[in-house]
Amino acid sequence: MEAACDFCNRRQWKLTLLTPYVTDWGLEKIDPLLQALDTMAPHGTEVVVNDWGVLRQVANRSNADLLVVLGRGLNRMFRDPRVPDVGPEHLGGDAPPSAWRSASHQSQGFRTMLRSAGIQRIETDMPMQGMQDLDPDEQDLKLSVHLPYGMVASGRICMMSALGQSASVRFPPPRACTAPCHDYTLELRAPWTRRAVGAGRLPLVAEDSFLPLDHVLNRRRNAFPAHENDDAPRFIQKGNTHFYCLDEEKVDSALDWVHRNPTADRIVVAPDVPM
Amino acid sequence: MQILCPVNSPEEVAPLVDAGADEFYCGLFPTEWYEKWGRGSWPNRRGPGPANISKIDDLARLADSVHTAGSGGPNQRRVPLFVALNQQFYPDDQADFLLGIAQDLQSRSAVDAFIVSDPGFMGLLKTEIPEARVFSSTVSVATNAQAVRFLADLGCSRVILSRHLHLAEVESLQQSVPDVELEVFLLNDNCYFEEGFCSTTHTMPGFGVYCMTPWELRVTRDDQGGQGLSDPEERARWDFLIDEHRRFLGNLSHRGFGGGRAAVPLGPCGLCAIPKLMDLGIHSGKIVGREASLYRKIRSVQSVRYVRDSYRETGDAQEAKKKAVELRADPRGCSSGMSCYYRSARDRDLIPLPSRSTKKPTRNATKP
Repeated sequence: MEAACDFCNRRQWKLTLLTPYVTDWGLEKIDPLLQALDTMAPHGTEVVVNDWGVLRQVANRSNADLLVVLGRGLNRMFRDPRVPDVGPEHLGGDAPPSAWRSASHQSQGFRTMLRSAGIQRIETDMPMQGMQDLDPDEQDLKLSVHLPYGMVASGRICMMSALGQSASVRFPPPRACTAPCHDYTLELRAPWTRRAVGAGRLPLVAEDSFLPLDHVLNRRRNAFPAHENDDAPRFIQKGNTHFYCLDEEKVDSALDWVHRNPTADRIVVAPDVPM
Repeated sequence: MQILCPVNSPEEVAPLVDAGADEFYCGLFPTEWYEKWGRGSWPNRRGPGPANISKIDDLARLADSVHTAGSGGPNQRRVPLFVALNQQFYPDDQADFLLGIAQDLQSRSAVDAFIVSDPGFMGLLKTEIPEARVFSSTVSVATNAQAVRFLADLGCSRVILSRHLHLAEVESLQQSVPDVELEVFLLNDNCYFEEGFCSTTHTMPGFGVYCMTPWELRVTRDDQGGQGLSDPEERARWDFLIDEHRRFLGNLSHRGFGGGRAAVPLGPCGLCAIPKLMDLGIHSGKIVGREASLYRKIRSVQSVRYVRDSYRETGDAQEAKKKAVELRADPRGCSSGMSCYYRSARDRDLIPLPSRSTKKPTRNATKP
């Protein structure tokens, strides 16, 4: 942390410290990082929090110069990658609910809580189904939009960390991790077709679908069909987290949204899966 | 430790109290909600159907049954009822709608606490109904003492911990925040992801639960430009892992009942951890399954009570654990640990596994 502060100070760069959700042990690990920021942080340093406990820990420190940012983990929204393929037939004829295009940061009660907790900025993903515009009267909490990857789900149970581990430590939350995710990525090929392809019928595994019914699922494949010939959506698993990646059309749509909503004044670009 | 049990109707209350339930929780999916927002948006973590009550008056009747259920026994007591309003977040119109319902329930003294995960809605409840008790749902994600303290600062008198904590982590939490009631999961359902960090709709009709999606998987090496695996040994390691992982996923939810006389629900279980959790002073142990049959609920409550009371009466943790293992009647399941909420509580010496190496001698084998 000290080296990072020194590096940024010499170049007059700003610094953002991204923190995960943690146990008490993790809180102890974060504390010295915050101590280093107390004395060396470049002006305008941000700490992104994805844990209510970390937020409390940061807020209780005396360094008033730190800007606290709510991470996208705590900014809840529907990032279900199946949503673009859901039709009224799944919903009993109902239209998709407006809540699917909303998020925590758009509710008054949540924003009130954030203000009292000293939050000055909120991070958000752009869900695959898009997001409704912000209230133009709400200008005080700025937004950072992550592109092109969005976080579908995460947790402490991690298949990847169990690679090569004995049965006794396989699959409960790992106490230690050799981080196979630094070497491997999983592509997840869905057992349904994209709605645009399957329009007019359920986008599910079916007799006339792309997968035969006797196909054994939940298996590793050496190769997938070429993207241009494949109707199945694909997602990514890195470590314990599933991600979607917005395609070019959806990225354009997200940029249009940013232009329409000036409160969203920052785009966080991840050139690769954010790990 | 209190046994917290799901309930759906007044008819379930008496048999569940007889079985040993100390507290109840239920879900509410009002008809008016459905008319406003359809079936794709839920007021809690379960959709319309058997996991939820659809009318406020029905909930009030249930509350009457619950509150008076303990008055006939030797220990006169009011049995409490909690209602889950624990969707991850509520847009303003939904929050206002639920606030109106909460005010109605509070005015009828029908509900003893609201189980909430949206911190904005927690604040709204405490502002508009200061006398209301609010519990923090596991969906809030409390995995450390500071998070528990944060939620307590928002007015939560109880915090339901994450399903994915080791016992040592629960111990650390309890010692750091002894003034906050803590609740833990004990039986029936687990989540693959941390529930508060899972942004999927819980069950989408036609798709099912996201974490159970039967994906096809392709493993790529980052240092080889995203190429698939070519080394047969490396492929075999991954195939083994994926097979084991699929087996693990099969243990995350209810998978029938145990054999023999036990006939208790199988699936995720924290029975072996009960002595330790009691020693720590954990306030409540939760049984999952609002949508379950009454039989499953009764057997679940009896299972927890059997182990809890054994430890309470004898103070012998090993004996209580042994009873838990016998009760489950699933030695292979217990041995694998895949169904454990708290795997460190498992004592494999107590699990009577049939030996794989013992074979009946054949006639030929007995000849010299």
